[in-house]
Amino acid sequence: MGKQGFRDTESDIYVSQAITGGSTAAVGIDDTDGKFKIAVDAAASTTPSSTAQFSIDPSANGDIVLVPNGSGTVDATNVTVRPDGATDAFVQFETTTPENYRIGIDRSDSNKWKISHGTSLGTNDYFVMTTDGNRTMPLQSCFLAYVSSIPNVTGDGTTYGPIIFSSEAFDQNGDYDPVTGIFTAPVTGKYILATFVDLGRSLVAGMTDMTIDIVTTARTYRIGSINGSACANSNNSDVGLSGCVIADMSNGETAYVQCRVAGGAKSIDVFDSHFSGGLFV
Amino acid sequence: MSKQGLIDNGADVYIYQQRATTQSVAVGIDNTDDKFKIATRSSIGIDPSSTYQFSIDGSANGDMEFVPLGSGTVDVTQLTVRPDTAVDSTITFQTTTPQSFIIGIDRGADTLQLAADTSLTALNDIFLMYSQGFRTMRQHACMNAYVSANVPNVLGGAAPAGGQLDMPADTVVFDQNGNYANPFFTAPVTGIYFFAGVGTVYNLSAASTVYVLNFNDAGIATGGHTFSIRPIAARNGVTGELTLSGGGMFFRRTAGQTFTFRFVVGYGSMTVGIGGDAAMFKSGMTGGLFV
Repeated sequence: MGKQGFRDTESDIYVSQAITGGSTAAVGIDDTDGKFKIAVDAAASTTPSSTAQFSIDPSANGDIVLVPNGSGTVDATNVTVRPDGATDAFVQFETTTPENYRIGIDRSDSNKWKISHGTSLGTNDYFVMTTDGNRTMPLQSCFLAYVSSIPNVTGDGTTYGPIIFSSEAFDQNGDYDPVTGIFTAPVTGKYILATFVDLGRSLVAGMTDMTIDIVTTARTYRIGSINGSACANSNNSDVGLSGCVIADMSNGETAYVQCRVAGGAKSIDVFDSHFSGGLFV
Repeated sequence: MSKQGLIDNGADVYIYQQRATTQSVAVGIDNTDDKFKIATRSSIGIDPSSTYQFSIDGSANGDMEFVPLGSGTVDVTQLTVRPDTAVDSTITFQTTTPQSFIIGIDRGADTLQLAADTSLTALNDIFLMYSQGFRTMRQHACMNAYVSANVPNVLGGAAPAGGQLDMPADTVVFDQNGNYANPFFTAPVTGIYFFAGVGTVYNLSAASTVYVLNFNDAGIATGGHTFSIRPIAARNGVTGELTLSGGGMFFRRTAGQTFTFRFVVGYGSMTVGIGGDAAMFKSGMTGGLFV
């Protein structure tokens, strides 16, 4: 039962309060859009049609809009996003660019906590945390490539590289090129790069100079330098070496693997080798 | 056109409503700070100067406050941060410690960023998500350092330990979070760390029959050998160097514990050196906090 009421169909309906020389507040309905508003200003003569800091739109699901002026803030001790219905609980960030990110619980996907690009959880998920604590990043740059055989690439001192690992086990974001053997950093960061290269199978006496490198734009990482023939597996006359580095790579810089054997004929093959990597931090 | 107006100059200006003798609400301007306030209590006789739950400060960019009593919360069905102007879209978390974290869109780059700060500024992010889906963490503990020049006559000592030396990686390629001081990386927090190393030795003689590159875990029994071989036979026949890589391992470290790699070349005399090169990473270590 209301103690007091106003009704109008042509103008704002509101209560205005003021302290002489101080703030003015207007609380009521803006006739131009039908929204309930609270407008506060340091000047006098504030109405709901003025710039409002708080509004409720009855025609749009009761949406509440908080609009501090300029660089103002909305302070709260804590905020809980708690939908009453069977929907996601999320916070959405938008800019006038426009650009959108949504962070919250994807109710339709086992209640996983997600960071998604755009305006929905479940589409363009970038960061996914399960309720038992496992985190994945489905679009984080990461790849594994391999090759079974590339014949006669070195042995006579030829530096063969990039080694073309022509098959991909996976290549999130498509930053490895299986045609050229080159990985290209999509953003500036620190990348884990790992390789295993098996050279043979005709390592013979005299092939004492064998090296394997990971080569980035910034520097060369020596993975191995050995006496190939002395270390050769007696069964297959081959040697496999592995290595791993965390390398700094700027956006657009590249990484690949190269190998070299000297001291004989160009009869050394690359066998059953792989190259993998990904953005670490 | 105002249907009703109140003006005062020296006292709160407000509407007061009371339900029986148990609940009341006061809506209006607090004369002490000129803020518009809504105060509700399960008692009667309140005014805007009482403890309030909502306020708007017309003199400070229209700042708004939600102040639930006690452990109360502000509930929303969904929350969208949508500036009308060309500014960052952010939410800030603050404690009385004081400590602040801010998360939101850095409008200049259209990236989603987290920073231990009160604003998103260049290079202060600790978590950055690009619009293509990549995530970087520029403050996350991660390092890369290598030996820039040969270090002669440091290995090849008497059995059984032989000459040994921790990785003298003097050139830092990067050291996010500043945890590396030659030759040790010190764990900034308790967690699982990933490390990989490369070791090159030279001037080997037949008398030195052991070459080991250890994970030196400062007395913590978790490490293992990356390799252990007879070096003279394996060395490169042209350069005389022997370079082998540790494939990488995960280690658990408590905050403050250290890590490095340790060369051991046993037997013979102290004439074996550690290979270094200013232009090539052939002795060095890389690693960082994994999880």
